[in-house]
Amino acid sequence: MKAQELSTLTVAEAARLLERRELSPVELTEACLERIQALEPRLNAFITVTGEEALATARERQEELARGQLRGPLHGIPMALKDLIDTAGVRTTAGSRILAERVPREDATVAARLREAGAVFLGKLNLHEFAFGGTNVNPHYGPARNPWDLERIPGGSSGGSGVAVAAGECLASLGSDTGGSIRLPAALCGITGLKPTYGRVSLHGVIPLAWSLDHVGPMCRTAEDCAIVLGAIAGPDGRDIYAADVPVPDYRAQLEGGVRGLRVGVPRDHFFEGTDAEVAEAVRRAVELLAELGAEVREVSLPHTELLAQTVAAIMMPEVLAYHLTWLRERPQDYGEDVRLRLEMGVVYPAVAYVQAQRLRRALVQEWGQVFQEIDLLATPTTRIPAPGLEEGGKVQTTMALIRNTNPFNLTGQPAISLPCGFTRSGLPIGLQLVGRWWEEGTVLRAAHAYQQATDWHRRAPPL
Amino acid sequence: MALRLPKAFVQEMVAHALAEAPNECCGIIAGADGQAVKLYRCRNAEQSPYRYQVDSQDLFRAYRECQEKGWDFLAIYHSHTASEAYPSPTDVRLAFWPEAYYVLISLKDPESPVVRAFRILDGQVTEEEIVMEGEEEEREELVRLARLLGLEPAPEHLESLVEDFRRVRRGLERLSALELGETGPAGAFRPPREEGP
Repeated sequence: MKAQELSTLTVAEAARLLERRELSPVELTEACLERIQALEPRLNAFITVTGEEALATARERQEELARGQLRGPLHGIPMALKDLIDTAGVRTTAGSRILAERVPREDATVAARLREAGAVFLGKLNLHEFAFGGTNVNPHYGPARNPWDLERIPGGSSGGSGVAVAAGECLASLGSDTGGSIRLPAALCGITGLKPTYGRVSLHGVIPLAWSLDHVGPMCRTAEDCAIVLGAIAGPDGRDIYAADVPVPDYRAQLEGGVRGLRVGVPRDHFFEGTDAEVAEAVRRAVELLAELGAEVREVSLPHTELLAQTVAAIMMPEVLAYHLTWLRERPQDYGEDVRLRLEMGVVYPAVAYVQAQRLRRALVQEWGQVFQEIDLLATPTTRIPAPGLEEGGKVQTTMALIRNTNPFNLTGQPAISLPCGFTRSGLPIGLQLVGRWWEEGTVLRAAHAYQQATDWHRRAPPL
Repeated sequence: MALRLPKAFVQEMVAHALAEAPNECCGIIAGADGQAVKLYRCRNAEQSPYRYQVDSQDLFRAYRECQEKGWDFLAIYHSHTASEAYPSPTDVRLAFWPEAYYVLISLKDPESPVVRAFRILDGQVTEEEIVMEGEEEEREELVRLARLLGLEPAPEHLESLVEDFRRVRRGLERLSALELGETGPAGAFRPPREEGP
């Protein structure tokens, strides 16, 4: 197989070949590195490439295989991490100038777990500065570019994670999601990205954006791959008090079974308002297909949607500012223009606004929880628009427009996936968002997998 | 209830009145939750020093944008170039927007224009106070808040920060109006689960 073919394998496919010794970790890693070398001048998905280290790890995993030792489905799989996830000995910049020289001594919990599971790290992926924005137009490291149209944004903040997987530079990646930062780039780059339940995955060693809204999760080509990666990183962690002590099921074993009998809600308001016609049409067709596959589709209303924007802002802005306060005092000029402005906005939120928003959040969880007694999944467009142009990417308004459908579920903490459900006439990917009940990632992944068994949107590769 | 207007809007209405004199000028101020958000200068279809009628195209344009954005007509203004800032019998007769404030700008003394606001309901005229929200003061307040945290916002950001400030205030009004009963905040403190000594 050629490098291009190898690097566009899914994790599940590559794992089968590796297990049968039809492919070696070194071969696969070399293919990805070749691809990275060829494409990076155009895509800029990586901030740091660790080629030597990756090949060394791949050789170790290969020797283990030769001895008959197989760690699991991630054994020898080339992955890359968003550059706010700490990696021992490899600089972790958060896409900022402020942390440009920072080299952590320890791995983040998720990095350590993936290493333990046998993954090979290719490097660190581009992101919106400090993950504080949805476009990945980064003034310090340059914008990551959408592989479907290099003049457009890949979405953010985990833009590099979306681009690298979509372009076949790695087989899977990790992103983080505080307002949509896994799901937006998944939607705009045409891949599958899962934000798990809040507390499902440890945040230890992940540079925070807003503690009570932050999530880490997999970004892959398929729901099946997301199930594999989530299985490796999920579960309690003594070093993160928010990582909940909730049993982690075998997500991969739960994938089959289809959507027959699943109740899928389609929201009447908020989520389809102002949506681009092609996007809305693709999502409606996707819901129809789920119905044809046996799901029961019904319309639902979610209360308080008119208050979502200010509620999220009143929680997020003060939390973000709290983390950045010292740097913003001492080196404000080292932030990019848009991030500095948004940080400064944190000063206008009184403490009472934060508390009121947190109270409404609890009420939302209760009331939306009741709606989710009547449905198993909610289906919405991930974004209202396909990928905007790069010149739009530096504007705060672009982020605000993109996160509208995703950030409600950072507020409620529910699991939510974005998966490809079509393309615009101009060839840009469209994302379908499926949201489940708390801790029920298995249901979300099962429905996404069923959809992907019946469609081939996720198999399409960008014209590079 | 007093009509709250940014200083810039009051200045804009006076400037409009002066520009149209000796004819009467007219326009509309859109509001969101009682907060003025946009001023529309409209054409006076009458083009007269004694009467005004908002040009129907201008009215439609403003109305449509308000519909789209969820705003309403907070105030309708016009000028009296030679008389007091008080609704004339014709103004009262043609006051079709009972929810809106009617703002009058008098240029009787062009050196010191007078701006007053009224409610007109069923032919009854009630004067309402105009509270001017000075942008300067808002900026100062904002800078004070930032300094409390040891921060100095970039001067070129002040304008958009002030806008955000207003938005947050409106949002806070809506958030505090919610009936949440005894619901406490999400993410509240929980003591560690380990057993004590």
